[in-house]
Amino acid sequence: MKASALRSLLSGYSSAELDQLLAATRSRRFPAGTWLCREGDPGSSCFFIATGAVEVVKYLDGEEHVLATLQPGTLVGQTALVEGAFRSASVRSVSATTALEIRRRAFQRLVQQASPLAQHFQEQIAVAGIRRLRAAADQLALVLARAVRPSAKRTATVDRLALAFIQAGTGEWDIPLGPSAGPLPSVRKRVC
Amino acid sequence: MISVIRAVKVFESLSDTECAELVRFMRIRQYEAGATIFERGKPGDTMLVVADGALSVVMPGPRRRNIEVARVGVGEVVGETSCIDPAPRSATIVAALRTTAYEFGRKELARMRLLAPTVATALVAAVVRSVTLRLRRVDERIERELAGHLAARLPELRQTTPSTSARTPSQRIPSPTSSKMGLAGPSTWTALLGRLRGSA
Repeated sequence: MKASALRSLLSGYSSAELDQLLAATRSRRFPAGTWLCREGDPGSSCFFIATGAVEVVKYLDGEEHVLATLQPGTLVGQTALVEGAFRSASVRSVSATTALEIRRRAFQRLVQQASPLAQHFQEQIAVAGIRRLRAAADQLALVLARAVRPSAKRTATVDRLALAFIQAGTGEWDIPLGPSAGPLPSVRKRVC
Repeated sequence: MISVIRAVKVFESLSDTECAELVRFMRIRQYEAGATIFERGKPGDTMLVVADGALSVVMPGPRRRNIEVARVGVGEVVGETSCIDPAPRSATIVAALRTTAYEFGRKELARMRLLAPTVATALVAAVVRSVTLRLRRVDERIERELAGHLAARLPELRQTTPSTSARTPSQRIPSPTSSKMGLAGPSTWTALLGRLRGSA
């Protein structure tokens, strides 16, 4: 795969950087209907979709749910570049797909060199992860707020507190979200 | 100063040398008790490490009073994701006591990328590790909560005709900031919540 072919898909990288990226990756072909990765597997590579399209799939209660369809230019599976991650969903090619596979070791070597490309790439991965975390926090807040329905009057306050606690736990700082004793963690009513 | 940074859990993967380097790019800030440091909804691109004193994370509660939802103590950090991906502050933070904190932001990260690139990548990697762990915990919690709901309501759901497909959002659910990179995520949860609401 030539650097020039990637240029239209990857904005912000110089030619030299694209060459470097290519050197750290492997080009893979996935015929329609084949799996790039499976949920629960210990992943160690991420995929940059170059041509074709893939579906992100999760199984819940034995039913298949397609969470998203991803087009060329999308990175998928990047949490595998961090140690100890398991695939949170399966990825299947919709049509014949080519993808650049970036393995964890190659990525870590790249990051250790701390070249502009490595920093750029690492930042994109970090931003993707951070945004997923923020979105998940929103979702959890909503789920918890819905779980607490003792009466209509309490809902607005409970919504806000649940949201606050979850945002607090996952947005800017770390509050452990352990097994829930009840839907709403206890709140210290210190008034400031 | 270095010992405080060294003790921060998010930075535990940094070497002692990297911590020492990181400190060089940080600013010391002093806050009087009661001072507002972050304001919910306002743009933010800095993190703070508490060196002395404590911070209060507050949210508006019932009867127009503020409720402390968390306390941030010595050796703890707030805002580390904002350095990498600036966003509106998710909560208001005030100084609970007179506090000394070390500040590091997006501008300092940009300088560090030029002047100490390996420390910059080590720092970003440390934040990514922390974010990945938290994401896994949140996803697990969501699944547990929803599994609990579905288990309780399954008989009702089976009786209703499911007209919504897995991809149809049923109401305005906060959607993730769109990004060309990474997995989109919430449409399954959207669908599940829609089904719950439909049967309620």
